[in-house]
Amino acid sequence: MRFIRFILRNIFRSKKRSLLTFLNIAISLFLFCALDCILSTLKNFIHESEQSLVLVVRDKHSTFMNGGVPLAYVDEIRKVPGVLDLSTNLFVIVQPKKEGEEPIFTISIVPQGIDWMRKDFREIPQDERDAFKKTERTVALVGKQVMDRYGWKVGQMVTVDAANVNARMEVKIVGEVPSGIAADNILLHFDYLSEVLGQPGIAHSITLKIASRDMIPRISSAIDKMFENRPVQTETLTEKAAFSDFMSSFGPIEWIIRIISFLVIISSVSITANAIAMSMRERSREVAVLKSLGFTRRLVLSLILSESVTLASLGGTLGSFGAYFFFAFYGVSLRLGPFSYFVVNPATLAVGIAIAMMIGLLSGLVPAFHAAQLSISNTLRRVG
Amino acid sequence: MNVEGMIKLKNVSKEFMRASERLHVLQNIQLSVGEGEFVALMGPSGSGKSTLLNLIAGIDHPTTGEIWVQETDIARLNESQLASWRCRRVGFIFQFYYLVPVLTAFENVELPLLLMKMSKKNRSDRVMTALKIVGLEERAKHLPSQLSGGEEQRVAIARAIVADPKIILADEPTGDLDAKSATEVMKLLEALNQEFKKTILLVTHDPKAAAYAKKTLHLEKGALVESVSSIYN
Repeated sequence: MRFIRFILRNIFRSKKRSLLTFLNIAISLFLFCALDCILSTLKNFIHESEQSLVLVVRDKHSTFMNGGVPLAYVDEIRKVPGVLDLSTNLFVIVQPKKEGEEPIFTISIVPQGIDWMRKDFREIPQDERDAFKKTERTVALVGKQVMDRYGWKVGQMVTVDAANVNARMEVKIVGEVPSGIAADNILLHFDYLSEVLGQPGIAHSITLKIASRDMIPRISSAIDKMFENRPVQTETLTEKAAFSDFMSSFGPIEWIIRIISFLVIISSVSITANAIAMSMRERSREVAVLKSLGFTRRLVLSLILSESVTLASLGGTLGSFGAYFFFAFYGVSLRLGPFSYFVVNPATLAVGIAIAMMIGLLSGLVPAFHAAQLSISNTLRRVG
Repeated sequence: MNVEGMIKLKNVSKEFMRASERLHVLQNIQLSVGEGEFVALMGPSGSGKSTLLNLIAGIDHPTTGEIWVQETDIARLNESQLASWRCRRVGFIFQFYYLVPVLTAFENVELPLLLMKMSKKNRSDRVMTALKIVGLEERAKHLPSQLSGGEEQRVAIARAIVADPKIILADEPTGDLDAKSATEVMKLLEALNQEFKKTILLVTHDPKAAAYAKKTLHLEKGALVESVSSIYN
């Protein structure tokens, strides 16, 4: 504590250099938190789907939103032991009526599915879910981000057009999806979308509610075997597997994000190390004098490391909290494919600050070690 | 071993390697400085004056020989013990002051006390006393860049005496000062010797500065060649 003033004064000795180093760390940590926030949003979905008692049946030979499972299969699937309930689903991209507006990913489900299909559906207030289930087919639950983006309100009638399909829908909003991926979606009744799209008799997927995770292999195999000699073969997957398959269309996104994050940190360490080393070179005589006053090697090492760790921590805190507040205000409107609602969680914030401290430690280590080892007499030697 | 005197050097030699050449900077030095003495060390450039001072301050190690300071053989102390010993026993004054530019005069003087267990109040009192002795209590909040060369050197002297060491080692303390400031600094060192009974070892090229000492030693080619009372006294 006695040296805090000494440390702070030294940090801001060269204001321009300190400010640039500070900004470099702040920007690096902002990027790190932003990238981690995207990654954790994707991974959260995988993690949640790992726990779910849900299976997805889809057309084995078609890609996402193409082809479909015949509705004629539904009754047979419902009879498979362990299947408690099911929802047929269709997906479509819709466009609000106003031109130039962003498209909205729309999911249609069997109304009862709203109570069990996904975690983010269950976060919709019960009365709004009831309204979705009990009233007529032309009702919709709309994600909070969509509501915010278009200024829509619960109770309002809205008109949207299905993209690439000559179909228009006019629905009444009966509730709002507060968070999760569906916060950027519209949820409709399956029957209504099926009719509007003119695709009677098929579903893009069928979601099953099952009794236990232990039954997954048995149920999957029973269903797929049941339809293996039919015109449309099925593939029954866990929600996680279905999601991972979908994610493969984005390429190795996790690795790309991790490599970029790593390179950002390495770059920050190099720049900070250079700034600290430059500062130490300028102060070598001063360090020698401190040692002549009785400052031990360990103390010199600690003081210099404290300087670099403090500077890096301040920059890292600014960058991490900057990302936190940026995503708190603007993350809700950012989208990556069907994913949105990006928020920097407290764990990412803590990791960001810890990484900043590590940047300070790593970048200060070599200059601090050199300073601690500095020979007083060699540094101060002159002809005499 | 019974050692008389505040500082006692026995058969001290110091060699350096420069490229493949061995340089004999100090050869077989025998020196004894008593408590309260004020000794000037003179000699031409490269004669080993500063090296000798560094050895006595424990910031360099002799190649051979013993260096006893206040009954401690400092050549036997390790780095950490030497650092602690320097902090309490020796005050060092440099030609170029070497104040920390981002710290005020008060904070510069306070530096050695930060290494000691001492309350903030006690630290502050001691710093102000040291600044008062050098006549700069009014300049406590000034940065080195706001002080003249003479004032900077007086702050450096305050820093050297704040921990109340018995020995002050001054390496060309007037070498970078104008005549007026140099006189002030030398009078200050004289007062520290006479009023506060500090033992002072002064390295200088300047005969006028050496005149303040009670004894002058000469170093030539690494050897003490004579020991005389100052002709100016």
